[in-house]
Amino acid sequence: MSATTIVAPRDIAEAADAVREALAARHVVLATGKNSKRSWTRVPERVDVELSTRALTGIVAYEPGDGVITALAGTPWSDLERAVSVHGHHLSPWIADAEGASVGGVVAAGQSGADRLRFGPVRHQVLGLCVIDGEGRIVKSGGRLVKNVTGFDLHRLHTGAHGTLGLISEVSLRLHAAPELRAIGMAFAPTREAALATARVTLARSRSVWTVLVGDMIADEAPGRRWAIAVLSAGLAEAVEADVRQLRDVAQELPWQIGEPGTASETRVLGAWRGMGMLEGLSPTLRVSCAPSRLDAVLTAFDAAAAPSELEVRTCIQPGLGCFSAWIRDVDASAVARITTDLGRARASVHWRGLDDALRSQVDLFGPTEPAGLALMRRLKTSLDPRGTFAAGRLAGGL
Amino acid sequence: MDARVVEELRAVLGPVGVLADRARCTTYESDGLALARQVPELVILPKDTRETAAAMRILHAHGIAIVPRGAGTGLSGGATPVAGGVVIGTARMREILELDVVNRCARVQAGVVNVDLGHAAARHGLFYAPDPSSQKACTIGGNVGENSGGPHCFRHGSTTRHVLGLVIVVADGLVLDLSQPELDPRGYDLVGLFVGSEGLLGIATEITVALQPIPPTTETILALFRDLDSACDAVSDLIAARLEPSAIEILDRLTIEAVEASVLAAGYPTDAEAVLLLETEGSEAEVAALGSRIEPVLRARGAFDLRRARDDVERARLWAGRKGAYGAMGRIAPDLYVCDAVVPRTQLARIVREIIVICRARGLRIANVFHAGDGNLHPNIPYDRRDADELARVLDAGDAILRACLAVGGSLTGEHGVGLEKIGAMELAFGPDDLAAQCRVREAWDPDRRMNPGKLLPVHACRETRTRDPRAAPR
Repeated sequence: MSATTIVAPRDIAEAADAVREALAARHVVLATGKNSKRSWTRVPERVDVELSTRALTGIVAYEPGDGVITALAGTPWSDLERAVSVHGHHLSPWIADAEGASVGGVVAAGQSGADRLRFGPVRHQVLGLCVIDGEGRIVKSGGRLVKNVTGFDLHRLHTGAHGTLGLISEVSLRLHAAPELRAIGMAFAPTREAALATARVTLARSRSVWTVLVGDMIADEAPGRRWAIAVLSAGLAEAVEADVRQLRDVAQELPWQIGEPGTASETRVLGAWRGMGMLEGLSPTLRVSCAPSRLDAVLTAFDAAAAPSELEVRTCIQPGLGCFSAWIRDVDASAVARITTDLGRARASVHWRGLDDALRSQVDLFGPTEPAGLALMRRLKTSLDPRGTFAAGRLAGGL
Repeated sequence: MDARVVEELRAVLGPVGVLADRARCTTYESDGLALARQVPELVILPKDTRETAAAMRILHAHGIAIVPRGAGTGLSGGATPVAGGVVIGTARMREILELDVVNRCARVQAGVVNVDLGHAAARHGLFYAPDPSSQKACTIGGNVGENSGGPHCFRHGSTTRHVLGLVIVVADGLVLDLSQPELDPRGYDLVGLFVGSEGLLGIATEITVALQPIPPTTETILALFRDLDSACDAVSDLIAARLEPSAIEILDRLTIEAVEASVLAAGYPTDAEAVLLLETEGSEAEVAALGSRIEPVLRARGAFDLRRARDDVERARLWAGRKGAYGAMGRIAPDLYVCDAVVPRTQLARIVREIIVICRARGLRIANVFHAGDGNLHPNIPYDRRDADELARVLDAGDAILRACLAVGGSLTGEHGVGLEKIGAMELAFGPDDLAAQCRVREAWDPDRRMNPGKLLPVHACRETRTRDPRAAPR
């Protein structure tokens, strides 16, 4: 194997063979899916082999009556979405780039979606995994059941580990009821504070809300009213209609668009939703989270940290979750370091995504990690990958 | 127990924190799995994280095994003491440290009783979702150890979905503060791994949990069926139709009779062979809409009557009957073997029929009361432990039930844990490599395997791991 070798096994046994071969040759392996989230981690210290799941595709089991789907890791997320929607299921996370993401990649990256407020993070959707560990062994945990406490939840360890503990080869996910109706509403406000206030009233009143966003993405569409509030309500038809009635009282101007799944009206709704952006397609982004009550203080700290460099910034805020994403044009290493430090002081978590390779090699993408926890994480890495087969140096603390 | 150890612990915990006399220690000889008993040599009751850590450093220095214990309501023997070991109880850690209404979370000590947290949250219009039947006694720390469920976990998920942060003391007394609320873990998800680890990785002393707003409308429905099969099929149909009440429970005739003959008589109809107890919640519109969709599904499967709780009093009575069902069965026989297994929800009727056959073939009665919506079965076998032959048949039936559930794609436990009870069955559910991985993870936390030894993971699996792992030098 040369330094640039890419291996794409077609089944789990082949994947295990590939890891064992790498182990025998003392090669370091980088586990990859569709490479859409490669820039979410630091540049690894060394990679000899890229072990790709791109040929490891297919739905292994989907019994609609059970509400669980199991797929090989390289299966495009969009394939799963299509398969389950036929039977009235919703797959969470609801992500923007479903075509460009694989099942294993979404889980390995711990990627959450626009429906997180309703369904929780991706780690709550993962019911079981099959993983190839650093010794080339095929290890399963959990299962294809919505409730199961048999053994340690090793799948929680691998979810969000970016393949540093092993290659995720098969994933079982919990499914949800697809909404009968989706409705989005948008309103505009002159300031971030005013937009957040409206968003919070919306959150307090709505019962079927999936997402409330506050963003400055659509400045051109509403001159002089920079901030937009977007609300997505989804669920049983009567409940969504009741939500819409409630929320019209909050912001009279909310131009609601309502669509039934599978119809042109639904396409229009989804088109309008995607227009809101979620900073879709923009890179690099900084993802910041904190206790929801601290969000305003953390936003202020972010403003102050970004100000000295006169950076061009766009933000998309989810007040219900206590997080925001910020796109920052032309950010450099010193600005990254200053923003990371200042937000840490404000008791917020950060994750830089999409920085170029040079920056990702030199800056801290995650902020500091609790020392005792980090030491334990290092022991876990050694336990599951004793000879360092899977490329390290990518996560917090050099994991 | 070495007198020096007792003295060192007393110096840290004070006399109230160390129980050494046999009479008091006997109280701790078993948890809810009364079949397994071992009087501990010493029980210690630290009052906070600092005392727990100090005590565990002493126990580490002396190489003494530790069994964590909450209220001892567990049903799998997870808190059964081990010979020569110490039980660390959380009975003095009962403080709700913070109830943050704005961020909808609470930080509690491990010994806080589940229902006490519920009451405290309710004063602010919030609730804590996991609601095991033992919630009047069980602790949040115990719930974390077992990843406990409960009827309303059908919609809201088991404990793991509600734990935001933990303070953990590991085997050598080191304190891991994982309590900072974060949307996603920095590095690996240690909190997610710890929940449900049954005391093998450490002791959680403080727990931050998510709270949710109490829904404006709740409706409780009792659906009556002429046979258990139809009730099971109705549940499968509800799941297939993707209808999501907050709870779907089944009680069979023997259970209904036991409840109705007890002080918890809930008004369950004794002319039904089985009832479904359902609850829906949400906005008024959502509850009405869901009810209108659920009713035809139940009718189509033969529900001959649907009764809706008229008010909160009736609703509470229906749930008290459900949650008190295990206690009520004390009227049927002196002992009750409570099985806990999970099957895919399309398999409910089939597996329940099979379980009835398994019990009848062994001359045993069976009472079913379970979380049908999750496929989480609780076949209950009344028996008398003084009858050695009957006890043997009960244990044999339990084993056959587990095997039957595994054969249709199920698992060993949905909420009670593996503990001591099902440790022998772990090799039916997992292969050697799966178990070896779990053992390696355990050893990363506790290299000496002093935390709750003899539970959850078969011992020889761990030994295999230790001989296999060459600890090769990293590159």
